[in-house]
Amino acid sequence: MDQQKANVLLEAKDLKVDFILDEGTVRAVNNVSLTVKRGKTLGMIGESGCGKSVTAQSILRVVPSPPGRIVGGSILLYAMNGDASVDIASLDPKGKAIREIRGREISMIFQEPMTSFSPVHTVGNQIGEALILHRRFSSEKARQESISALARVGIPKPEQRVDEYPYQLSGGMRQRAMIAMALSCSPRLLIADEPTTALDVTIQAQILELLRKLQDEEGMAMLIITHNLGIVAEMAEDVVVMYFGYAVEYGDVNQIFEAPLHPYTRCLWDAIPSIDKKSDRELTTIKGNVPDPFSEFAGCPFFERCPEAMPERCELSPPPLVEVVAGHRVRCFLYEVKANG
Amino acid sequence: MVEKQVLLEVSELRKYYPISRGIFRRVAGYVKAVDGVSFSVNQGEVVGLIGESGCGKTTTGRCILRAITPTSGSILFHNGKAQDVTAMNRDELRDYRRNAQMIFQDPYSSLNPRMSVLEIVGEALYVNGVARGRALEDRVRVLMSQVGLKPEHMRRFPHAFSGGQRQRIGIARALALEPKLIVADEPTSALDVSIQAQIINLLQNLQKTLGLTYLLIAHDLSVIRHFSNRVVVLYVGQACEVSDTEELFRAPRHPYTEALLSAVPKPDPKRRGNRIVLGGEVPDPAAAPLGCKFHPRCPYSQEVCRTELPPMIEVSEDHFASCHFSETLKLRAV
Repeated sequence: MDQQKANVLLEAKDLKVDFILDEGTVRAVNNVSLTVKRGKTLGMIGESGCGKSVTAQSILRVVPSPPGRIVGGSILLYAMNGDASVDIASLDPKGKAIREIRGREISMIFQEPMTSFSPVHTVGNQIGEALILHRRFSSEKARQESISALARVGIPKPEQRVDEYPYQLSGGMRQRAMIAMALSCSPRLLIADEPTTALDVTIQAQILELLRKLQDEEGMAMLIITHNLGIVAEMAEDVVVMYFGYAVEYGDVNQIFEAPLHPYTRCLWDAIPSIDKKSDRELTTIKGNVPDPFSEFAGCPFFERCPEAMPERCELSPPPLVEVVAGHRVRCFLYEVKANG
Repeated sequence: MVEKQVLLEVSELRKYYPISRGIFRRVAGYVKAVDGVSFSVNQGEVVGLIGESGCGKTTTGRCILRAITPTSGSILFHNGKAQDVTAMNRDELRDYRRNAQMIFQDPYSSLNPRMSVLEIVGEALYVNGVARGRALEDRVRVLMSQVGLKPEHMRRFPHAFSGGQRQRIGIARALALEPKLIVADEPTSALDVSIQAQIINLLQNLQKTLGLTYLLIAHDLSVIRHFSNRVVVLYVGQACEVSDTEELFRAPRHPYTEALLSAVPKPDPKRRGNRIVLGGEVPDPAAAPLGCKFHPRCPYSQEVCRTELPPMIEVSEDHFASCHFSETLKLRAV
């Protein structure tokens, strides 16, 4: 057990985030629990509006507030030796403690690198900023460090690129520069929110390769947020499937791909066409749409769309979290029956 | 076997955009968005157009509909008689556009927010004098149920619909004049996975019931494999491979196709890490390399690739590739 604990870098427990708006309350994250292991990759998968980005934002405490608020749960970040921990969820989002964590312990890369860089500062200044702030580097030393950071992410002619502005770089290069910026202080956790969605397939392959290489070199953990099942299969050791703010399934990547348990996960798997073979059958669809964010459910939020819904049961009370096999948890009534008898 | 009837024949299509510089707007060069693309589309077929951004797939689609006028080349549309789309006058184009319609990628920006569904879907019918008043409403009702929308929602505006439903509105609009050819430009890439499957199934069913022909522009290769009969692979404005879909995925003959197939992350954790990662980036279409456009990134490139543009050759029946070594290279399938 202790051995297992020592491997944990970050643990979210029953995290709840609400957005309080004039039109009502959006429960963006509902009792989400997940674990990021040291040096490993957790893949978070789900469709738009499932709460995956908000979960990531909560970990850095950058949820726009108001209207967003963490209303429950904890996010524990464990120290090197695994004993002491900080509860990120209870920190002041503008305080010194969280600012020590942002960029140094945990950093993040985004889907659209153009919108996350400042257009009026050079790439080098933006990479160096964290070094000057966290490591108290002189500006000359920060510049040198920025050049080697750019070289490490495979940007040609880094000594020239360091003085260029983001608009002068191509999409793939910008994403590399953003990775260089995120990794400048050697964080222990890198959160990548749809890191390759805006990129072409061959460039996507380059970026994924780069992330994996840097992870091997630095030993950092990653949380990769994506809607692409292929990327999760390619990169992650563990997977969490999100639906309407709930973590509906959590397990090891092989378990999730070989034996998906939650009806939503299974539907999602069947809904993607295969690149390996042509099939004459129609694609399996999930009926209906993702529910309106303001909806409230007494029972399972997937109930209306679920092909295996049990009318009385699923509609009335929230489904329990069941550990079906060691390490493979699912939030569904189907397995409660099996677990009990 | 039924004799294949050609519906559309694109040959040597080119679209250049001038780049002007200086105070006299002197033409300093050209962006060769499409640079000599040839392929044909048979009646009732789905032809996939794939490639990365800037490869000219959207420009090709728009030229085919004459949304933009190509610089040179011809596009023959066979409808009774063969007519060159690039040489049509206003009246001929009006007729042609009843037969060729488009579905767009973004279901948000492609619908006018100030028009109701009735107006959006019915506009073409009204403008072309096909139907008015009651008859128009009846026709819109039929179209809406054909694409899985509730006809009673026809007075609603686009904002009241979800992304998937909006895409259905776009499809109903494209179907209104009973076209023969539909150019679908990334019809599912803005949608979530579960909704994407609904739209693909809908497009497939409509094809079967209405005998439509699709030119499907997409970058998602699994959608292409699922849906299309033949594939045209584009790279920097040129076709590098044209083939039957199954054959393309089983035995690609152009190194770019091989790399593209290999680069797609497969949803199977057991196949991790087994892929070709190309170096470099897609070249700028304003300054494409000489010789084979792919040579700077090609793992198999030789001296000849740097200087000579490879011709498109038929490597096996109905399978074309433009690579100097397509006969000898042993390339990997998916």
